[in-house]
Amino acid sequence: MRLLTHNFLQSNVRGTVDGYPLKIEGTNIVVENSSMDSNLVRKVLPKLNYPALVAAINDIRNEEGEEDNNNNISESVLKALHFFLFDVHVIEGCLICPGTDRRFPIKDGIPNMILHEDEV
Amino acid sequence: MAEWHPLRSYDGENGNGMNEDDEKFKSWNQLNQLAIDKGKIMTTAPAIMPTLDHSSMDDYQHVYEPKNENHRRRRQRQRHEDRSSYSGTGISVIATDLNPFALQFAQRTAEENGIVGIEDENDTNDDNDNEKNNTSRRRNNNYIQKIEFIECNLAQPLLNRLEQKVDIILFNPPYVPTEDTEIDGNDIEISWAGGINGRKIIDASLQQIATLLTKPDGICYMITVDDNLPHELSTILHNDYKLQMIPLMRRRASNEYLTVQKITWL
Repeated sequence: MRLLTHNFLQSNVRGTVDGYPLKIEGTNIVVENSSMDSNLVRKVLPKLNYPALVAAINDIRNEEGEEDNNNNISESVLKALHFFLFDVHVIEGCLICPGTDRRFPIKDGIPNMILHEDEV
Repeated sequence: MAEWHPLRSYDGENGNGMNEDDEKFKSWNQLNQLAIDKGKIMTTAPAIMPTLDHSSMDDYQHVYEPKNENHRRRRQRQRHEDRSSYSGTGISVIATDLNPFALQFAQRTAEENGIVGIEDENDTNDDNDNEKNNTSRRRNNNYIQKIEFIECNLAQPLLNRLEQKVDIILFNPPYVPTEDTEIDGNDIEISWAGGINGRKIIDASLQQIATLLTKPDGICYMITVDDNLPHELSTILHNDYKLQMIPLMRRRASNEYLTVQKITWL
């Protein structure tokens, strides 16, 4: 699971007011370098939720990061975004609903977001 | 000449005594005929079937076996109009399924066909050099490379955050007419069981399609069979969601006609 995908996932488990962003608890995180695709990053930018991305990066680095409010996006920033959005993969771990602590397991890089009948 | 559409009245043919339903049905058949013709033209384009060398009979206990027909259709659809604007860089794809085996199978297929995976060809982690070379040879820059898999019901966990942000939806729903109870199974039948008229899952997807598609250019391609009463679907999409649905391509596949429906904003 890439952080790009994490940015789009929300927990709609019953009882949650806002199940977003999901907390990432990664037990196996790998980095796979891919060729830089500025075009893709630019296309993705307007769809992103920045605070959620920053939270995700903090989750996988397990440390506090500083929010970057710079709107003038340089090539180096695009590269950094490309790295975090596309090259970091959570292979094993959990996504945790911030509202209810419901845990969604990630196995072989695939998050299981299926809700049981009594959770809908 | 404008394309036929069941919801557009056409000149000079309204006063012939047919009631509206007959008229709609007639024009829908005309659309279907156009879609068949398109399907014939497209047969000249060679189909690319992904390699499935990694698959075994065990896989098909849990995953609906890919058929040549399905894949040919999929590739053709991409050729038809997506190819120029949606291939190459700038694409990111999310694939969802209820069936974890189907997702794992799809992930393996994508890896085996060089669509996803590690790009560095000098990577020494791969034990089997021959296999690696095969994969590298197959890899093509026109292929999708950013593809992600999520186990979920339709697009449920994505609806809030991808509202009007999805450019293209490809949907091969479970469209086979069955008892409604069959769609709640736990096994292979959920890959095809569609409930009454095969519409149970399709109907549930319409709201999600309308939520996700970008305006005004988003496109959804969906497979239907005639048992799904596509002309009725088209009316529902038009009236409830301001979407229009037109048969894009249509071909006989053994005992049924499969149609690729193209859904766009009005």
